[in-house]
Amino acid sequence: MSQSKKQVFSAFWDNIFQAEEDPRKKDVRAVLGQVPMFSELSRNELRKLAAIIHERRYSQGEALFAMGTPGAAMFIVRAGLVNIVIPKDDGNDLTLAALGPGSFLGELALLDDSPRSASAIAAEDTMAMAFFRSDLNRLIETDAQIGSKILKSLALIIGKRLKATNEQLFSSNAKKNG
Amino acid sequence: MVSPLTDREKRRMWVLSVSGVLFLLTTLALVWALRALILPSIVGALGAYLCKPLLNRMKHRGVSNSLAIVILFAAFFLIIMLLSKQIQSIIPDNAGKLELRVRIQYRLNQKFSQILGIEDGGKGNMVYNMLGRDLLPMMDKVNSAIMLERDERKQFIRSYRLRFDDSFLEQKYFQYFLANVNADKERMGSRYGQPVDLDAASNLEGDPSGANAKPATSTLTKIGNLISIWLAAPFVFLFLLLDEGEIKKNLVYLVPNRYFEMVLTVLDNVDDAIGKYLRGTMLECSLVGFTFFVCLWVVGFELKWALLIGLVAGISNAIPFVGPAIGLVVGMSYALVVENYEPLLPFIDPNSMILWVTISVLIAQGLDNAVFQPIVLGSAVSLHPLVVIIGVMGGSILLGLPGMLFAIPTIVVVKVVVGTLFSEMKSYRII
Repeated sequence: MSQSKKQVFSAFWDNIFQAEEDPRKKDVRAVLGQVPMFSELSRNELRKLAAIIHERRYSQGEALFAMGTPGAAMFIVRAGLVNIVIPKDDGNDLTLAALGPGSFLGELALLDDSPRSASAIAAEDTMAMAFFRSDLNRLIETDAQIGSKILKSLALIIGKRLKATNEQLFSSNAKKNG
Repeated sequence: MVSPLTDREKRRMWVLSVSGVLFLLTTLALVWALRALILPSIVGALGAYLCKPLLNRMKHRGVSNSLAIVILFAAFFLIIMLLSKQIQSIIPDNAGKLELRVRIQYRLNQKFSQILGIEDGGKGNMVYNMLGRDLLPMMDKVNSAIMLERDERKQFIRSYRLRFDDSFLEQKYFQYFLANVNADKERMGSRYGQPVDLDAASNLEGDPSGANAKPATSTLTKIGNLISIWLAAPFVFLFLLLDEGEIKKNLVYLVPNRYFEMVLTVLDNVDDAIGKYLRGTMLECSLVGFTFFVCLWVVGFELKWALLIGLVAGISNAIPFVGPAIGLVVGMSYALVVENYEPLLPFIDPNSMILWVTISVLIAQGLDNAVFQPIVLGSAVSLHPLVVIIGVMGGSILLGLPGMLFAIPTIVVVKVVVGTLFSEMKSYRII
């Protein structure tokens, strides 16, 4: 086959099966690779994950999700700043944390649709990526390896938080008891 | 005083409104202009939607995405090709259609006379005495509807003379034709018109095959157009299978942030419910069609006809209440016309084929109600029977047979979308 024919054939095939990765997707993949929950995924697995991630833009003051509503997605902050707050009736909302680029929030929504325990508000114009529970469930069916790696990382993160909470509880009890 | 942010918001609203209206108008104009492509696209999209779990299962078993898509695409293409080829081989040409009408009319009258006991000058039985007064005018109407008109009679004689030369008068179906002509003359009297002279009819100029209703080029152009339009189906099928969520992502991108999570939850729930319903219905219809095909084959129908009638009965089974009747009517029509059967079981009497077709329908419907529906449609969406009846009637009034076929899936989609939307809007405190 001549070189030009080869090029045409390859372009046709690449176009059909999208062998050449979209630069935007490449960028999303790179950001996802830095998130601890996806740290065990290979380059190809990250590419598959990037294909089902939703990109969103939030203006300052806009809510990513509100406390009490059912959780459906985990969010990853790509750029900007997100405050995790407990809204108060008097307007003096309690800010629990401020999350910058690379942080993730609302990860428990990947397990079930129980209500959000706090609200997430964009403290400045923010770009975020959303990963849905239904997409994770589908991924577990089609690509069990990717699904199990994500679930394992999620279990480790929740385990670490539980350990930290237990330690905090222990030290606060110790302080109370003198 | 207006703040800069409000100005920006106003501009945003204006741009969004104008582009939304433009998008809607363009979409409507395109849909109207390309309406011929709607049905093939629906077939392709439905095929892809139904095959998506198969694709996932193949991927789960380690088959690569590209290979799985190629296999499914080849299978879809092959099924479409085989079905269209089979259907094309069965559809008769113009002369064949005339012959079919002659046979139907003859056999219908023969069976009718047998049922009423009025064949060979008989005085009639109990059925004749009880219902004859109502049934005879009805039969007259049926005869008037299917009898050959004068030009068609000429065409029929001409095609038989050219096919069988001088022996055309001895042909069985020509004898049927003559019997029909005599019966029509007797029935209609002076209204029948001038009889066709057998010799004169055969000397008329024209296409001997009788397939002369349209010029050849017109038929070719029609076939060409049909092929090019139906080519859309496999391509829609292929590209929807290749899509890894991009279409959904692009649509969801347009949703405002406030409704983002809710819309995706609704889409997911709707997809789940509709997928279960459509896949369940398709499986149920396939099982009913297959059962009917096996029963007809066992009672002695020719294999290809049993297959085609099973296919029609299977597809029409998607129409509640009316579907089984369509299967019954098609099966009975065939039983009425065909005279040579080869039953696989010795106790099946070829003379009572209508009874055996009815038994086949009863078996297929019995199995459907007792086994297929509870197993296949167990957790799928259920509708109130009244909604089903009104939906089927409404679909029939609006779009005829396609309307009847698509009425229930459309109602299911609307029910699931509205139900899920309201429930999620409450959960997300939007209403």
